[in-house]
Amino acid sequence: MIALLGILPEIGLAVTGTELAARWVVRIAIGVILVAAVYRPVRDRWRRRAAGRDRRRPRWWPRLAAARRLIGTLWPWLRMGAAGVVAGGMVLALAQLAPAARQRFEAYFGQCPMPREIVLSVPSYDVPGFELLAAEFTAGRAVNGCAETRLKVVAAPPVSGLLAALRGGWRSADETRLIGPRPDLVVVESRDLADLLAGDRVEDAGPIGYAEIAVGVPETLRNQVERETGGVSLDSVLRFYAQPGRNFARPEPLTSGLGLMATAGLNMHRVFPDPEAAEDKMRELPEEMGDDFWKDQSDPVSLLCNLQRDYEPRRNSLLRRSAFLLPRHVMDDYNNRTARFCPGGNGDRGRLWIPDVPPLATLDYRAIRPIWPDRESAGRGEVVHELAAWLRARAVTPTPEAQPAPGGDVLAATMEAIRNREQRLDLAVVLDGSGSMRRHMPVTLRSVAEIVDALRPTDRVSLDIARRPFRDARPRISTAYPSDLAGSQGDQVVDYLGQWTPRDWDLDVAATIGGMGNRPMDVMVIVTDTSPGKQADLRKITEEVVEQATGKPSDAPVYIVNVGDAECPPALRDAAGVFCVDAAGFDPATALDRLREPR
Amino acid sequence: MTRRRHPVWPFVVGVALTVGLSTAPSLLTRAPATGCPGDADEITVGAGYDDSLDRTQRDVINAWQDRGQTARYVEISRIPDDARAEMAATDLDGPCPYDVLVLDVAHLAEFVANGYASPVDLPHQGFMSRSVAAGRVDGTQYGVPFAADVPLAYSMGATDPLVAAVWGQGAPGGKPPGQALTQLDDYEGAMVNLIEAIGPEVVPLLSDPTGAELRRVVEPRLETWRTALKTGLIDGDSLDHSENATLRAFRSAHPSAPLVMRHWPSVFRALWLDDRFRDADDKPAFTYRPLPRGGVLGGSVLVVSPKARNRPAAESLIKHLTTPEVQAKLFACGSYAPVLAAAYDVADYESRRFTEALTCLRGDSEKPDALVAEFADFAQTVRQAMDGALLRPQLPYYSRVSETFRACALTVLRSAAPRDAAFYDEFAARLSAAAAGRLPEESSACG
Repeated sequence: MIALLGILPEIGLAVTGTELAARWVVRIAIGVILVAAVYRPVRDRWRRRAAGRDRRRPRWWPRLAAARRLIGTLWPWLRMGAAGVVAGGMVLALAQLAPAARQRFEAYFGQCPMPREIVLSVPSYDVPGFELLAAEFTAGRAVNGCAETRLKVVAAPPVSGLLAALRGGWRSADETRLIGPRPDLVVVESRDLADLLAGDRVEDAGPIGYAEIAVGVPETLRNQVERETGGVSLDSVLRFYAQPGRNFARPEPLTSGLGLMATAGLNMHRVFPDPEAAEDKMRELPEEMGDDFWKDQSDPVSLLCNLQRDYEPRRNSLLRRSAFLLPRHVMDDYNNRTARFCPGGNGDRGRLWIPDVPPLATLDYRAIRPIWPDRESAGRGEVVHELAAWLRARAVTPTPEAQPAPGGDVLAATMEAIRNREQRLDLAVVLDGSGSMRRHMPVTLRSVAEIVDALRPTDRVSLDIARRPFRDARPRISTAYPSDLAGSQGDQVVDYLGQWTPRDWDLDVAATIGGMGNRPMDVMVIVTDTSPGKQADLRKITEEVVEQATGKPSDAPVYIVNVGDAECPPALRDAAGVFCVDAAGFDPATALDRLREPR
Repeated sequence: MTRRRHPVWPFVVGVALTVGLSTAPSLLTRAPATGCPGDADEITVGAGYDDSLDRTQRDVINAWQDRGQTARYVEISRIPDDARAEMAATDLDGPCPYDVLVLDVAHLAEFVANGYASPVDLPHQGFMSRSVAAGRVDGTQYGVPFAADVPLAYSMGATDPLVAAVWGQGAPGGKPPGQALTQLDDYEGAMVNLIEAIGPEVVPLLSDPTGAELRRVVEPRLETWRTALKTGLIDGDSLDHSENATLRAFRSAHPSAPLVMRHWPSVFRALWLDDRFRDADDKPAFTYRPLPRGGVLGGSVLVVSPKARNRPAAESLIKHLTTPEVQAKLFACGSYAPVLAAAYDVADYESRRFTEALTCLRGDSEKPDALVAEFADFAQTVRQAMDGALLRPQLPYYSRVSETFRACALTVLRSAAPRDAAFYDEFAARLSAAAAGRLPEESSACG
């Protein structure tokens, strides 16, 4: 019987598939077993007693007679009541089991029941890996090929924006739109990051996995590292690369939790005097490598694949004299399957040596469950918890010598240093929506694409269209794309322009600058053909333009990118706060980088 | 013989107590889960990112007001499947985040099967029949047509033989001159391209085909396209192209031979108002026509949640959005093809005082009437294409069917040689399983 009782939960779970229904199966089964076990001995005992009335009875027997009579009277009622309780339990169990039974019936004899849609948000570079896990989870719970859940794996927003996203209902800063489907489970790279995201409507779903951040060294420097460190250890390797002329390549810490934890791991080993010095050092590499490298830093795979490219000798040397701070499994994968890892790369170059030293830090991946009140349900919560538990059960235990993920003061100091050194730009692009721009659309598209391309993933960009729907109307500025990270919406802005068509009356640049009001920005770029020969010809309104540009609330400079045939007015070539530049000669990377400064 | 006593009411009390005590806590703690939380006077409209020109769709919905009730347009994601996931991530036993959904017609059957859509009455009788059919599942109207989308063939040069060879019954006299641009990257756009390539006969086969049927109906057309891709009749880059890439390729082409692009009506404006696509007489230098055997009807329907907080207000909003004036504005200003026949009569815009639509069409042109006339001609072409449009099958697991069909059909198109009978048997088996909602047994790769 004990064995039977022990196996009941398993049977219940296997039959029903849900814990709640399984509990009821267990309760009823225990009830039936107990009744069956007790009923016959009790009945026999009562019968024996009835048969032995003539035997000598104890002295206290007469005193119990009344009680016995009472029990005798109540017994049928009690027995029927108990039967009612058991029957009620069976009704509940059937009610719990019915949906599962119906689903099983449909799975075997008809079309699959519709699965429950669950959205899982994971770090962007982990999307392919989690898609495989999601497929495994879905298949493992499927009945006759019918999935109970449909898991949608999406890339999480940059780590620096996660908290704001959760608190803002997963909406953009201007609250006009969602930043994607709202996740039921969010995977972050460490417990400390999960703690930072804690709040009223965020539930900790526990740890779900581990990954080691290792130090990868380009093979070309291996001999030198071994020779000069005098015994390879984690500390000696880190100190070797902290010297002048060498550096560390890490994922962008404002975008990826991996990069943030790698930086914190480095700071934990006190290789640099303080986190600010470490940050200054690590920013040197992308500054020297150029704008594309900033973009590559968003993703460990792209970052590594730089080793496959052929830059000019100086940049090649810079890159190959840097140590890579990345997950060990990613670097192993890169070494083992370079051609598939970096399509189009030169597989013979850029191999990494991963010294046999303890990892820099261990990422203890953790899941949090945001609770969205407008769609929360018991069933959803149950499935999400099951998913988190399933992921946890598959986690690989870290090696014993692994350093835990850095947290506490080290993480806080690292985050502050990163924030202090951030050189983000808020760029507002304003397009001239007048019909005359139709002739200049190819140049306009190319100019905007170049401007967006010059932005770093953590910069922000917005797109507004300024136009006058009637001849005498004031310019109306409509926001096509509110300010958001260039890394996530830059391409969308360029794609949108591919189908956009200007159609309205000529644009007054001065009124447009005024119309942008006190919108927060670091630089405004107005793309216009300058309305030559029209009422609002830029050459006729130069003074108003300068007046508006210098008188506006912010000190953000205004670039007027001239995509038309007429030349910029000389007075605006070098005016204070406003610069008219011809699209053909405009170098957005240089112009924007000049404006960058720590925030 | 003593009669055994079996009193009934203790049994009843036992049942009632057990059931009552077990369910009471969950009833007491359960959140008010029957409706959509929030302001009952504000209709929440969930949609993908508004791709209409100048965000016309968003502005039209946000501007709606009726007796103190307003609407809020919530853009979810630019990626259609991400938007679908957010709309679908709700439960029958929970509350609901959106009163009204602007739903891609391809997903309607899935939402109906999930119980996320409620039956609706069409606000009036002016809808085009194909759009109405796209909003109906198993004979019940669940979606009110909102925007239509039906592909056209945009051409530069004489492309009649080319169009016939690629989308028609074939061109007489061998390979015609020129090249066709299509979208065959692995996404839903490729599915509609493949249906158009094969023809209307494939639609009923998608839910439960046999290998022999696929060989008879699908194989010949796929082989035609495979050869066309190899010989360059269809641009080889189409295998990696989605809509934006195709438009870019068409706009940047300097064709010495005829060129035809399969694309949606929404790109018309980008070509029509582009001076590079006008000839010396300021006439459009490109032509457009419906696909010979019909294009797949896309677009969106308006779906009301069964838990909508204020159903009369939601219905009022829907009625407003499907008036001829609003549909004309969405067409002329936002480039979304209308679902009402009346909105295609551009010549009547003046007499019906569709001022906003006319303002968008005329812009700052010195010849506004010529522009309106050109747009009227285009509108009639779209209307004609609408009448012959193909409907995708209304399957609850349509997205899985589409994924499976694409995987197998694109495998054929990428193959060096024709596929054998066993491949089509496997193709059919996978398609039948997908239509029933079953996961693929091994991998989603075909063949």
